Amino acid sequence: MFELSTHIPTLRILKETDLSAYHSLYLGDPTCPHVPGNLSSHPDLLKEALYLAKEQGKGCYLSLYAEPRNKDLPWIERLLEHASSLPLDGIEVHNLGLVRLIKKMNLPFPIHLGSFANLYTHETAKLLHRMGVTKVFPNPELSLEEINYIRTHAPTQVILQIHGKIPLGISENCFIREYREGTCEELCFKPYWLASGKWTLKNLGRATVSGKDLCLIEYLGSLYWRGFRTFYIQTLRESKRYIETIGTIYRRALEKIDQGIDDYIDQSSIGLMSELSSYGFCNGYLFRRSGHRYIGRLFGGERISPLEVRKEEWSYEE
Amino acid sequence: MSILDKRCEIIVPCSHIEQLPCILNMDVDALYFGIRGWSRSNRELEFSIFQVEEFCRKSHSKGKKALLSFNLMFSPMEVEQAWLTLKEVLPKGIDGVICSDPSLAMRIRDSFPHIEIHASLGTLVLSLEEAHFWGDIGVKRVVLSPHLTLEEIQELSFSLSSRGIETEVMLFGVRCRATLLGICRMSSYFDMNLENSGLRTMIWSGSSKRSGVCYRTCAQEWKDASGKEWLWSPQVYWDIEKLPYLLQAGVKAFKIGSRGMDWKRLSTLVKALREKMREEESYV
Repeated sequence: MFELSTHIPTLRILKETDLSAYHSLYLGDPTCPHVPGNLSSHPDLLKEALYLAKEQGKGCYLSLYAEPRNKDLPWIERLLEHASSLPLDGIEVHNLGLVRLIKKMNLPFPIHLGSFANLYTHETAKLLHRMGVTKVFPNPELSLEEINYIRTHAPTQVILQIHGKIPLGISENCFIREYREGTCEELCFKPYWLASGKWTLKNLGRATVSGKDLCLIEYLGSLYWRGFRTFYIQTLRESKRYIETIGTIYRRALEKIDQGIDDYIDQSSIGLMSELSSYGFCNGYLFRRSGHRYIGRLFGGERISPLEVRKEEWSYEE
Repeated sequence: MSILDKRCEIIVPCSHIEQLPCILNMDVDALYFGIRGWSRSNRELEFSIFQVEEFCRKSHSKGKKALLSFNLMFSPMEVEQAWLTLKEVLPKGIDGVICSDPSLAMRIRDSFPHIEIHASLGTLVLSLEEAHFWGDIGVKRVVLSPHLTLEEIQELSFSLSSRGIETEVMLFGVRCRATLLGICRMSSYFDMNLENSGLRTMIWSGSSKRSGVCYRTCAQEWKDASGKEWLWSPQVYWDIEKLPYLLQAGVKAFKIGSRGMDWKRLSTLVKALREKMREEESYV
């Protein structure tokens, strides 16, 4: 058994998208409370979305704003009070202050620690587990060995991002509003690409994500048999087709892996993924490299010599 | 020495043992430094663990505190190595540790209760709840984010002081724009190299959280599809004009950041700050 999840920021996306590939949904966009229709800043919409998702048999987590200031705490507290009566399965926070707030409010929900919370060690995961954190997104900068170390040395479950743009940072400013004229409704859901020479990034307003899509399809079997079971696809500000297609590709692959089928990558899916990716693929930091590189046999990826890998493993032993 | 001088601290970096005599002659209250491989700085600007005792002894002889910056985010596989290193150096006269990892802060609190723990700038404390999270962990001081407004600093300082927790503000440093300081992977996304750093073997150079070395990718020329350039360069700031408001807000300590700064320049900044503090005595 495994779990595949993604973020669904608005009711419109929830209603218009076939989410059958996903077991669970993070409701809301954690990068900005002003995203039009953001489920994590509109309690009325959240309730409607939650019941709709529950009807589809989804696990539902509320995704809170990642970087709240003092002025945000009152509305977040009201949102949490409202949420306390809803059948949520958990709350995602990116911020240790919100872990404290949820604990203080004595809310009955498990807490998931988001990727902006900078979790680097199993000892911190253990500490946060005592405060109600049950699942963690490790910092994306960690390598596969390090993420696996946290998974095997802490009581929290590790959520592994297997596809989609990597969250690289979040600002207090909305750069889209700064550099474009228009309202949030007019601007927010369009793609904003930035380039510097051959490098690309995507901007979501306050948050900046990688230009390339992290893609772990060719390592999925290995990850599964290492013991990873909780997977996540990052789809914020992606198209309906992206959310549906990528989800379906990974869901089918995971089902095959679960059945012990070695040849789990459907060749047609490689073309589909390429079609949906504007600037190519990367593996993130999993192989101790800069996040933008792709190590592997697919997508024209780079190979690492076995000697190079072994040398690093020796020097990394405790 | 005025009441104000006793109430507020000036903290400055020390990057080389050769610089120490010059910095000890400055009108400052505490010096912070890192040991090789474990602070968010260039490796050349860190000390050998064998220099820690001398550093602390000389600092104390001039009535100044020695603060160890141990704020790099290490690998989960290095947790024990980090702890063994701290156990080796903390008894050598360290007065306080600046750290970013909550589990490490708790471990120091439990094993070395006489040593002050400061929540590093990199913890990105932006709200009361976050500040109090660190207070619950047992920190003595929270270094506030440079992204906070004066009003927010005041709210945090007043609230924390009721629990006996101090606040610190970095008056000279670099304010990031593309992302909040403390949450940035832009540099490591484009360029990151594993380097051997001596006693600590692996350093993820290019990751500001894991090595302190940031390649300032944000400062490149970033253009959108319409050809418009997005200005993301970080800004060096010197917020001395905010001092009166910060003093009124109850901020306890003022740091001058930037390890590797020429000591003469550092001395000029310290003099300006001390003078401004004396001018503002009437605010107390």
